[in-house]
Amino acid sequence: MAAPAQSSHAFLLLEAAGFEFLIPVDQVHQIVEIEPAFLHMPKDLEDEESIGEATEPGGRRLEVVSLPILLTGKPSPPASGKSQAVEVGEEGKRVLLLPDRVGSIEEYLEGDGLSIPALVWGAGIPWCARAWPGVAALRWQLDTARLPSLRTGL
Amino acid sequence: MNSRHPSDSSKPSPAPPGTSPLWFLSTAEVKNQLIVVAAGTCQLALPAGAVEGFEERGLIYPVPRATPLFLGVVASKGRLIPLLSIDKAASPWEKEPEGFDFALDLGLQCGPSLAILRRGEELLGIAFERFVGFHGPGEFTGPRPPAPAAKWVQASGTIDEIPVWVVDTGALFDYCKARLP
Repeated sequence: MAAPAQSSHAFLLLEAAGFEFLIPVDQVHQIVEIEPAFLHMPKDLEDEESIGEATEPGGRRLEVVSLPILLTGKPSPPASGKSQAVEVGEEGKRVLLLPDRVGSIEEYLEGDGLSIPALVWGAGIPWCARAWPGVAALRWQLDTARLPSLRTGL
Repeated sequence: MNSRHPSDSSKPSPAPPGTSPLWFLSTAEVKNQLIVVAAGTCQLALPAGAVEGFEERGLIYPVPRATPLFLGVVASKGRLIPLLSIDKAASPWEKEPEGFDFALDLGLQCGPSLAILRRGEELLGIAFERFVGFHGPGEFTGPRPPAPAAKWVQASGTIDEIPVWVVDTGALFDYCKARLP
């Protein structure tokens, strides 16, 4: 009898602060280019990871969230030119995640993923449930539904 | 070429309990023994009943936003196990030295062997340099070290004038899950 086929998942690879993160492609609304000079910086943005707002051609404004600061607490060196950002989040709560680099779309088999023990976060927020072995490191699956709780720390 | 005497084929009768090394420790006795390992500047006495196993430590993967008590996770038998930093568990407010490259120096911070502690479904890894030996459960009766190590060390002692901390594994798991000051 043939073994049941393992389901695969497609992820968008993002690099930030030396780590590799995976976002399920069905949670990515679009990838946009941002020019630092066109980033607005409203005074009411107090969160450290919030680095400004970007205006789309249609006039819609989206908050830009630094992925390195959000997930490692450390900013990356500023980009010299245009950067790519990823629009994620539910309607009304959408943000642009700004990694150091947007990579390719990759597929992983469900069974190849490793569960992350929640203990490593102590009393903190267990923001990542699974990781996949990469070339020399782990690739951390980022669930965008957990982003708001990550930002508030609750 | 070795020759075998016909009488050698007869099965040797088992040594009576208490006289053979194999009979020296029963399973129940082993569970109560303390396995002492050298980890950094101190020696840890781990209750054998709480140790799932020992193995060679693999690569350490740093974890974004992990509590500072952990160096990262290590892979073992298809699982990822949180690797505790004993130094940080003893003094979590210690800062990394200036110029410390977290990604490069993780493997240099701790020993090449791994002890895996288990509490129910939870696992916890401790890296160490070498085995020191088995010791009886009542051999170390000294006072607890200063806080916060006192929260997960139930007694202390010495072997060859080197401090030994008897680990209360349940308290250690609880300590790792608590919010740090």
